[in-house]
Amino acid sequence: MTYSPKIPQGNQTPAGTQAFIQTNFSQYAAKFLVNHTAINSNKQGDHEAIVFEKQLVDPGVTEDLVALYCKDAISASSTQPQLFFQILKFLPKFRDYTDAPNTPMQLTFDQVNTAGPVYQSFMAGAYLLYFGMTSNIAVPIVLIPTPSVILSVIANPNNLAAGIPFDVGVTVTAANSFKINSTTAVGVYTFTWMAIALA
Amino acid sequence: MTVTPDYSPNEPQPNDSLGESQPNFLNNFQSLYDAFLKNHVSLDDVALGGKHKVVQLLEQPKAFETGPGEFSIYAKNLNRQTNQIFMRYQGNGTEFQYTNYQLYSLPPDPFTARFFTFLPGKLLVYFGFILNINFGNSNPFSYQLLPPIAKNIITMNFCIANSIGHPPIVELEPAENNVFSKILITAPTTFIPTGLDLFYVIVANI
Repeated sequence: MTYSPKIPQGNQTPAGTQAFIQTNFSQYAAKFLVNHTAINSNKQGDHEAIVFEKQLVDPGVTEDLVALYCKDAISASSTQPQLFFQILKFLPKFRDYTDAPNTPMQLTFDQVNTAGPVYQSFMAGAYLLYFGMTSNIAVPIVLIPTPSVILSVIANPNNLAAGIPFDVGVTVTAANSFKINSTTAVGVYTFTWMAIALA
Repeated sequence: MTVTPDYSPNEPQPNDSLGESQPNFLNNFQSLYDAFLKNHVSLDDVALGGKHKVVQLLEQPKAFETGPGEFSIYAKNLNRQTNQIFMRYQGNGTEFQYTNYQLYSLPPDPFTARFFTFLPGKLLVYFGFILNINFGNSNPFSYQLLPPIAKNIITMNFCIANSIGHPPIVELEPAENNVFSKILITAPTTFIPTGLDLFYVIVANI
């Protein structure tokens, strides 16, 4: 039996409606327990987890609140439900007069790589942050997971040639790879690098 | 009879007949159903009942209390801003601001691609690329940060793209109205090409 807000009916006897009332009380407690601390427990009412059911549309925000929700986000590597948030429309108009729409913002990405050698995390806006170190600039660095487009790459030499740091430059070779170039890097060396890309 | 849901914890009364208390039962059950439906899958959904559709965090006047073993996430308004997501660790520990200004696409420019995002702690990350800088015409070259809301620049990282050389020398132009919004990029004296492309990543306090 499921919870019903339509009980008891006026023509029911106590005996005839008692089971339905019990069902409502038990179902309420059971459904409340799904994401919350149980009724009658020490911290009843607190959240223990928040499981989001995927939404098809953005909730929109017109009050003093923040909305967190989950919806599909399309990236170059997959389509996955991600955590989004939306705030009341707020732009820094006192300095930037852009009148952008109040679009929702993607907070998460479904992958991180903390094992390297190409480390990866994410930032709000569906941006992926990659970083690492290489001792062989002859081969391009391939970003995994594959992004849609690389937006910025920074590479720094960690060694000197004739007392000054190696020269350096980067070339994006594909949507998921870039190459570090140097005319003075010889012998044993390392370059540290970071890249930001759109998921 | 039309029932206006109005939850009452004092129902039913001992001397009520079921006929008398029936509207109050209906009120209470309907109120519980409607209140739970806000943010949640409905109580009568067999498979998903109790899970969340969305979480609306109402503005809190101050940092939310956290006891041992608790972690809170809440919304709080900021001076000259709107509600943002804050988090606080156990035992009324450190509160930090997680979200920031609304992210949006910056106006397109044939010579630049500007992007920005935020990091927890009121940090803004500016990144992108500048194309075809001609230091012969302007050295140093002044670059505008958008949106111009940085109170302090923490780090500036530039790297040559599509060429090879030493990174340019970068420094901040003086703040205007307590906001840093322009960076002076000076080409190294040993390397002043025309048409230089640069990638950059800048982190700022806002």
